Amino acid sequence: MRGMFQPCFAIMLADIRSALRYPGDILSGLSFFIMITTLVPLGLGSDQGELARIAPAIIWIAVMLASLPQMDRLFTRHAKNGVLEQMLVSPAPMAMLMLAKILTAWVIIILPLVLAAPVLGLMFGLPFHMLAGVLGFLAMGGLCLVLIGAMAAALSLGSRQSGIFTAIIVLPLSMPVLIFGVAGISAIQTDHAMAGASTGASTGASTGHMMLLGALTLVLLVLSPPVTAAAIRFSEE
Amino acid sequence: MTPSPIHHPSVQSDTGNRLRIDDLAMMRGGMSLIEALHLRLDAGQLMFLRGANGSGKTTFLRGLARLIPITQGQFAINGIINTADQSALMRQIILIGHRNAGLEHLNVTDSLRLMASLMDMDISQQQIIAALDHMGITALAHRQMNQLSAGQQRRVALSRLVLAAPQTHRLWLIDEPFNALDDAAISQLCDLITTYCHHGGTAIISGHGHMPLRPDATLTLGTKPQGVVT
Repeated sequence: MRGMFQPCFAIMLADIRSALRYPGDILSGLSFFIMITTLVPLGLGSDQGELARIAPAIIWIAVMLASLPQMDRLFTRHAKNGVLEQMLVSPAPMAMLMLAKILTAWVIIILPLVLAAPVLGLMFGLPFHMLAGVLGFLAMGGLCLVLIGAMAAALSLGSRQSGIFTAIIVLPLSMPVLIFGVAGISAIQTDHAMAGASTGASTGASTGHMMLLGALTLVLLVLSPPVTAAAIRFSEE
Repeated sequence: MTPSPIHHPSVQSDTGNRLRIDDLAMMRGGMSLIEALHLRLDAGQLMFLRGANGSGKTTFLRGLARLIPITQGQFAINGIINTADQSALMRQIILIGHRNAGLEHLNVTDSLRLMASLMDMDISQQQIIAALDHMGITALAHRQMNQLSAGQQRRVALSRLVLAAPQTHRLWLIDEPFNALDDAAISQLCDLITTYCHHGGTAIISGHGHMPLRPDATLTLGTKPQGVVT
């Protein structure tokens, strides 16, 4: 009996290879992300306090907007050329294959944005020592976004206006990610402000938000792969 | 996860039929395409699935691959019935559909490697080269899938069968394999299928009109009484 993880690794490898060979998708998402996060400070002027206050929201909204079009296309190519059909007739469990695809999508879609975020954070006056926390929130919240996006993309397969459909499904589901994510990064800022003002010990208000976001991620990790698999099975029927 | 006893060929019991279909009915788009079908296929047999466009050939093959629900009856492949565990049943089949399942952004070798691992086959680089050689496309090994012609892509898809051929217990479901192929490729494919059946493999091939192989059974869809075949 060969491991059921082997096909999962094969899918991850294939998707990463494809993405690297045609980096257009990654670059378009990244450039969109950079555009939003540089245009907002330019438009708002140079009030550092104001910028720092809205930075978490802007960064999160930019991540969501930049990743949405790519999530929408997560399965379309595989659906058209019959790769999804072969996944369905594979002895490997479809939900596992979908989890592999989702984790790879995180690497391809979210990771470049997370890596670009520190540079952009500086424009918003986010000091360098906060970055670890901010990156943690973006990485975790980004996983939530991909898990939601995969379900939405699978559910909208076969519909002609799949872009609109995906957006409509993703929007309400990703509200909690936005709320906890923004609150979390804001909390990091206040944590640091208070730590600087008083004794130096961090109060850790951001930890609570991180745990909520983590709980959400875990729920979605369990929920999203089987839902995605079922939606794809339905679309291939 | 416990290993399935069916997986290993040595545990394979050849006492039963490779494919057994009892009272099968299938519908598509509100139309009844297959009714009260009984069918037996044994090891080493080749069946030709014939019918006009829209007569239900693809529906039938996809039904056996459990991609489309059957409306009535049951079937068993190597004794594994259609309601059994998904992965146990999928280990009994190889499906080559209409679509070639090539990964456009990968080269031929990498695309085949993924397909092989989805088929639960452990293959080496040499096996891939040998498979491509069998379909006469060794020169394409490192070409991008999206640069190939329709016929070349079909050849790549069919070379999955060469990779799968050692597992002779798996029922091949091949949907219109001769489309887009030139004469050379058709004869290579015929050789492959003949050899597979000679070694105890079983295949169902759909098509309309001329069939370049001599099948052991023919199932014609679209004509009303279907009765028993074989």
